[in-house]
Amino acid sequence: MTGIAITVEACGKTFADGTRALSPISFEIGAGESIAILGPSGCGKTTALRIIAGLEGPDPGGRVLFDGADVTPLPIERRNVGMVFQSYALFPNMSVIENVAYGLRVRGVPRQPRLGQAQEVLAMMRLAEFGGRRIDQLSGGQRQRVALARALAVKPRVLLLDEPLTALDAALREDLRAEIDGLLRTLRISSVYVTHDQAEAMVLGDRIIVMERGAIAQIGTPRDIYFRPASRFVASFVGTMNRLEGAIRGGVFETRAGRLPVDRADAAEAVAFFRPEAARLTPADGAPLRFRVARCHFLGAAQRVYLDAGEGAPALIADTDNRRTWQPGQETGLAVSASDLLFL
Amino acid sequence: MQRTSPLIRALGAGVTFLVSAFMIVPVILSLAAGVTANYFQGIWRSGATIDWVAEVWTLYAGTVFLSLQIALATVAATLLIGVPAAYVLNRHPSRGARAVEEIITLPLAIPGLAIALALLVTYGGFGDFRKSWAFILVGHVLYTLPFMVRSVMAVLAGIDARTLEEGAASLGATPWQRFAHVILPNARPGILAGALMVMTLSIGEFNLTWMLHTPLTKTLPVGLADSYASMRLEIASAYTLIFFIMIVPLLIGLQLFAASLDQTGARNRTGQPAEEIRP
Repeated sequence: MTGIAITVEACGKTFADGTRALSPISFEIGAGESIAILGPSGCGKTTALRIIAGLEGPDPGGRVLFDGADVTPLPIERRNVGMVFQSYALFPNMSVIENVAYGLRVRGVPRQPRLGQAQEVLAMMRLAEFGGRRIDQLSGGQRQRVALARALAVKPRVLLLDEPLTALDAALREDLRAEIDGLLRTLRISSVYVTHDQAEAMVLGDRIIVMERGAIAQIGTPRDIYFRPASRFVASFVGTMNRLEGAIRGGVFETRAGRLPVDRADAAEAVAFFRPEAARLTPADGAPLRFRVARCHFLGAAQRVYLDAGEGAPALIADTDNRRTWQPGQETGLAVSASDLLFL
Repeated sequence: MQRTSPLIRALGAGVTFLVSAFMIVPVILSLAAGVTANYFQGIWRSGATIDWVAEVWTLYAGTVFLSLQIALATVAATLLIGVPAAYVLNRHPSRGARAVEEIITLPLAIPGLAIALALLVTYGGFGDFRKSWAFILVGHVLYTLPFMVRSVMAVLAGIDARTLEEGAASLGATPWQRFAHVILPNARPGILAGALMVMTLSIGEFNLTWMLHTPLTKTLPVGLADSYASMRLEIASAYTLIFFIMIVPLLIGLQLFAASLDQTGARNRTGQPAEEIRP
């Protein structure tokens, strides 16, 4: 089940009522690559997936290529894709094994061989003993695994997943996320995974496409997206980001809380971003930046310290070790290496 | 749960009994009149007889069979028109689709007499059609179609038919296969409920039918009106009795049939795969 390369070329989508769901976007997916499309609701990520699937057609001028062949005019049933829906879309009138065998049934595979193949896929998903069950006798997690089995049973050229874990509770979501990850790695199938959950995108995407208001904000590996966000939107949407306003004069970033040396040209107004784990809390005396502790959340393995950044500014967050105790009002120093500061 | 005092409970039972009696006693009296030799002397003095029933059967048996025939044909027609219509309206929700839904529903708000008049004005000139039972059938289909469409649409909306169909399409199913394998089986409760409703409405329909019938195409309710107007009270009552004896077992039978179908469906889903539908 090796995957195919997918090319999305200038695919936009304007709905009948004139709303623009997607500005023309282009990207490529390598054979066997897992792509996660990440973004808030209404950013066009599902529309992009539905265009790849063939459930929606792109606006004129857009093209979708599977291994170089133009599939734009083909409806979904002729694209040989596997699709997993947020609401599972399992057929309540069929048993579990009939659901899994359905794709083979419409391909004309005779009953015995198709039930045999379906049973194999069920076994791979650790659902071997569930074949005779009704859909409403399964839990949410089992249903989604059946949906995955059903999509994989037809040996699709690409696996498309539309927020498959959103309807599940947190613990289950993490288990199934790991399971899907294992599956994608073993099968080496090309996949597109749409989600608004950055952890899912990081775990499952070889590369992540971050979308914002119908356009692509950034494409990159999870590390690129996290450490080198291309815009303020990406910086604040993926992970937690601290924001520090000030000005740069003569290689020094001057803020209300203190001064930090930076290697940048002068700017009257500059905004620096840094991650909570890049912030180091130091003794107040002689520290480049000084703050008062607003509050501290002990999280077990770590603790998250909120620093008062002054009126109207959101508190700065520093993730620190779990040993020291912090009192509200206490003064502390803050150090951030120049390489961890991002000016966006 | 809150405990109610025996007094309140007794009062409740009493009121329930009175209301039930208020509704049921006239039915019993009317049915009893049909087996009374002379209603004005009363059943005790004149005695019971089935002569009236026999006479009604010789006079009006044809109306019973015509009613059943029209009801079955109406169910068939609303299935053929209503189920695909509901499917299309569900699949392509738009302002146009809502307008179509409203238009289909209109005959409910318009008096049957007015619909019948419109049909007469339009098709009255087509002699053979006007004289055949198909003319009444058209009226019945117009009147009962919204019940079928609404009933099926409600179920389709409840099962998220759109996503189910997208799921089937992603697995390679053609539009016809999706309809036959996924939409129809899952819409079955709505289709059954709609068919029951249509059958019942068609058998009892009077307004439209009275305007559309000819002396040779009288249905049961039209025959009833006829007998009330021109026959002895005992004959009219005996006729009601026949209607009652016919319709009650029919309705119960249909309900049982529907329930058993639903159960077979459930069993099939647990055990061995159900019979396959091949397009």
